[in-house]
Amino acid sequence: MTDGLTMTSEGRPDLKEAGDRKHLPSFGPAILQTGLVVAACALFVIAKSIATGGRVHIDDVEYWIVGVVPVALLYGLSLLIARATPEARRDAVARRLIAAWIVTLILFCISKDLHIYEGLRDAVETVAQLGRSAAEAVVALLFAALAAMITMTKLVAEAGDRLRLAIGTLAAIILMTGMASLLLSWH
Amino acid sequence: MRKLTRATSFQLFAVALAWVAPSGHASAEADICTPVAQLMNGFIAQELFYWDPDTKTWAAVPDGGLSLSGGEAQLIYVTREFFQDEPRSGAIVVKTGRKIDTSEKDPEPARKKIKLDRAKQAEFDSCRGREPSSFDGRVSALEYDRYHDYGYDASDNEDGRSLGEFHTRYVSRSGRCDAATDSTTFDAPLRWDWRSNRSQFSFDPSVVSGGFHSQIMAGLSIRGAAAVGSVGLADQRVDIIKYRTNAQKMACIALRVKPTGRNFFIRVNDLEGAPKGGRLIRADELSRQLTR
Repeated sequence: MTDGLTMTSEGRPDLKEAGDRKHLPSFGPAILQTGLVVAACALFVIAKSIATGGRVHIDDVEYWIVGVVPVALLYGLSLLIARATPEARRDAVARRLIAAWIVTLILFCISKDLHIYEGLRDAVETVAQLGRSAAEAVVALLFAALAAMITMTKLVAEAGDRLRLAIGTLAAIILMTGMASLLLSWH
Repeated sequence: MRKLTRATSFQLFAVALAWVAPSGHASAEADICTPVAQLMNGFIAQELFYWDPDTKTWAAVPDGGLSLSGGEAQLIYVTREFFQDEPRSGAIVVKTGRKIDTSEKDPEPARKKIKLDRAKQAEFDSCRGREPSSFDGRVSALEYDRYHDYGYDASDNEDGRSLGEFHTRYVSRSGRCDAATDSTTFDAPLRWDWRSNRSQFSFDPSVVSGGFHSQIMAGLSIRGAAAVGSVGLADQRVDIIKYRTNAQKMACIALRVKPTGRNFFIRVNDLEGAPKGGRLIRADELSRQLTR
């Protein structure tokens, strides 16, 4: 069955690139993948609500806008990583970094809702003899590192230039920790 | 509603009143137990008794509530230990308030104040953290509800600091000074028991019996839609009283309550109390209505 137009992978670079993914078409740049961006923004608003003791709600549009900032920064970082490691596909890195941010927020929200977070934070405060803000930054670092391990390990392991991609991932972890501490003010 | 009458001596009541603290609440003393011990049902873990000035006797406050003729009610809360033979320590939360009539305006929770009181109990002073030995103050109902209904962190403001000073550490049934009245540790999450010490302070009975509301669901709700326990309530007051059971494995705490109108209630939560049974499970809230 054909409508007269022959569509082959030769004529569609995106299809060729995605050939190993059962010939599914690419969904475009990660920043334009609405589902990821909306999920990241919605989770940011919920995390902000939790961090502020319920003062922020899902209908607070300004926090949706602020929630785009981490996604944009991670996308920018993925461009830098793709430039430093040419073999790494930009969109693949961006998707995984945004997914790592989403996982970080999920870990925060669930640990708060299950009241595991307080125990973790208190343990860090006691063991490392830190203040509340510093302990929360350490917990944010733990969440970001765990999230990055979940989403980036396979990509780094399969990459030819592992060192550069690992350094890029480390930079993403630091960026996510900073964003979590600054934007959420987890205290 | 009905009034119960049982014969006990007025002299013993006078002894009990002698222990009433200036704040209106008393420490647990063996003498206070004497007039009410014989009235305790052998199977129940907690009971609330009142002094009937007409019959001059102590009687259990009925489940359906109590109609008071005088302005102030003299009460004794009794908690009984079923699991340990040796005396143990604990703490109770006493919440009083009044349900607002439909004709009365209910202020926004942010404008309402809840009185918090924790009297100095020198005998328990060795077990407390950074908080002062006593606390007497007020916090906004909204801040109180966020802290106790949802388990949010206390805010970095005057109300948040007041909550931190109000709550205290106490000696748990383990015998160690390892319990905090605002602990968020779930009782038994694997058995689906999401209650915690902090949730017992809530004015929302569903939070007391089932644990905190979800913070995630609250974030997903639109502004103003999240439930708080103080809606529809007035004249709210919360007290923390530490106790130690006696040789008869009971602790009796004298309370003075002044109902401020119709639909006045008293709710008592024993943070270490457990009903008789094979498994150590937190006792339910004891809730009674006191109508003037």
